[in-house]
Amino acid sequence: MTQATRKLPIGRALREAVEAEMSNNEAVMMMGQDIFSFGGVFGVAEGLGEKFGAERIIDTPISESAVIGAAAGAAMAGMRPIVEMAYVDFIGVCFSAIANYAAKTHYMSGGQFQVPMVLLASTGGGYSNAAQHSQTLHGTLAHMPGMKVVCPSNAYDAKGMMHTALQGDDFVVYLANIQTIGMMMLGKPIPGTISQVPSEAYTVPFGEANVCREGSDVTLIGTAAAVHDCMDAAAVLESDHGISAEVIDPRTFVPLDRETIFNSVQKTGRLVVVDEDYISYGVTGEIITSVAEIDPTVFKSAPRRVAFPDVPSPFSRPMEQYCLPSSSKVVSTVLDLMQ
Amino acid sequence: MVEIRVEGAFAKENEVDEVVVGEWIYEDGAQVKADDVLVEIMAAKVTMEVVAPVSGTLKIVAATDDLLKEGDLIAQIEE
Repeated sequence: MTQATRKLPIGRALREAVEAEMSNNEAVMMMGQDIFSFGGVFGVAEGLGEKFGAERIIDTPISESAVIGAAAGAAMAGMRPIVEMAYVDFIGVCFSAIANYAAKTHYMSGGQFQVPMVLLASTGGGYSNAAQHSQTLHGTLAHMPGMKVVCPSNAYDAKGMMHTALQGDDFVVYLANIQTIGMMMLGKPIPGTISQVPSEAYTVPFGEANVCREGSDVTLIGTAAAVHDCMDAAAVLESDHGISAEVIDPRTFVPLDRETIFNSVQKTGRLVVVDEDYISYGVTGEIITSVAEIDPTVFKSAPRRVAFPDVPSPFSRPMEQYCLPSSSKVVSTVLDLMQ
Repeated sequence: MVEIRVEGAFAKENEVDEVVVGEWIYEDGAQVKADDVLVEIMAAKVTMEVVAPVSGTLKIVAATDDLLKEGDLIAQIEE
């Protein structure tokens, strides 16, 4: 009898990790809108209300500031809360609770209080959800000290990283791109995000980038959904243009595996960073700087970035697609770079 | 051979004639266990998990994105 290969989308992989951690540790609980009976927008809590009860799967009102504040307090008192926020855009109303309480209390209390909580939020566009429900805010969050910021690109990493988050003692902002989660109502997830996922628990460490594809001519750094744009672009660059692209998924913004990124650029001499966040003041600039600060002479040509232009995300589909990163933009950027 | 069909009530409850098949979690010919989730089907943005009624070899009948009607065959399991 052959062992069955099981492939899951990210949302389902996350649920498996949350269910396992809740079974193993009574301190793990979840708070969010519509999670008890509906399972939340990602389906991460589907069936967990019935299994663990309303004291551990807590439906909340639309009061993000109160919810994040309550979760941070619960975490300081020994719980391990997961807060689900449907769209990362909503951090606007609770940013003080995130950046001033959850993120800074460990430092400001001289280590007396840890805040082991996870803020799970969907990011990104592509579904004409317009400017208040399409952002990634990678740079906004990664900029703040005191918290881990992670962004899986496939279901295997997503499950392992959720176990890592729930077993650790830090505040983790867990960002899942909406095109990768696999909610049927939004249409098909990006195919590469669905991956083989073991049933048993395992961890994926924070701060270790994944070299998704080895290459020698150019380094493509992709984040979250953009990893798959880079993989598609790398295939076209090889087959149509004879260019060998290395693709790296940092997997976590904080901590950032600067060493793996630098080593790759040292080898290839060329760098394109692809990220769905706004182009200015974002993680694309941070990644390029990380390489340039160590040794600017590794660059054979100026580094480039493919990211969202500095405009609110348009509702109109053609206009939104024009703004989003894509494999064809990555290909043309690399071709330009190689000249 | 155990047959898995679209439960009529699911489409009816959601007031639609057709349901759409999502991504298969297991490949055709995989050994599955009873209660394993095999695939999701969706009617009017409401999804339902299709679980294996028995353990055995999965034979996929309906492909991803297929539109099915009440009573249509989704898969079979050879015990």
